[in-house]
Amino acid sequence: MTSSPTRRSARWLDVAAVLGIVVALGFALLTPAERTQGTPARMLYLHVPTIWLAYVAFVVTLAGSIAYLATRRMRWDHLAEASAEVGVLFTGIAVVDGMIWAKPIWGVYWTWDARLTLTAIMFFVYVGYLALRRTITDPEGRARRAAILGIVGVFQIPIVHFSVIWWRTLHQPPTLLRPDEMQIDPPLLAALWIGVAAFTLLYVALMRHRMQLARIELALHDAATAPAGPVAGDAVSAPEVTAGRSRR
Amino acid sequence: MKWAVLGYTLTYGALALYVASLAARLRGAGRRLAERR
Repeated sequence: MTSSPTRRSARWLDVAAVLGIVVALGFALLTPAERTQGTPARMLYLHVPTIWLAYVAFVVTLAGSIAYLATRRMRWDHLAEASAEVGVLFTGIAVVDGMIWAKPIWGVYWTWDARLTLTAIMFFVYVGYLALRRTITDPEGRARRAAILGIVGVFQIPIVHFSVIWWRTLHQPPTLLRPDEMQIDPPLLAALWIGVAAFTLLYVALMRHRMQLARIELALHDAATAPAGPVAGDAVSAPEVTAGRSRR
Repeated sequence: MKWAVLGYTLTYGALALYVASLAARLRGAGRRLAERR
């Protein structure tokens, strides 16, 4: 039995993603502990890659939404849908990781800080995006409406990211994508970049499978709504009935 | 240490759950499509 090159490359991508995650876990646990926070700071290697992937995923949703509206090709809607779902997963993980990191450092799991609140709002906006998709059965109508929300929703990302610079917050300034130099020791930075790379690879692998699911679901919808073929008896016209008697 | 263990367990657990759920949805949809064809 032979498999197609596409399927083989997908399998290799899955294997690489799993290996990447295992290597990232090894680096995260074996890198020297941070001087002031100790082991809770190891949450950095999860929290930063997952929120990075949330940003990437929602920007990809934006790109898919714009491309769909411009071309009306369903493959772009599949891209937007898949990326939003994976983005919600990574946002949820980033929020929970942040809460677990916050408890030993801040003394509380949650506070209504600008960064935390805006990230929670972003999470619920994209949960709403997925919920909106569930309410519309017509694929074109669903894609069009979802694309509008996919475009509008992305404006939250710069607000979430720069909230720690624009407002006084309990949350620390950004680790990546910050206006000045990053202040982090090289071994910790290496573990962080390995985590970012591994989670990005995982995102790509998950996207491939989620887009495949979207394609199958569209094929199922098309099969269910396709007009039925001619059946026996279609060619026979019904007799006309006039004044209670049939006219032959 | 317990906070890091909790965080890593929950994260990797959530990822594993999502992968298992995605695989099950793919299998189910693939089977339904094969039945229709």
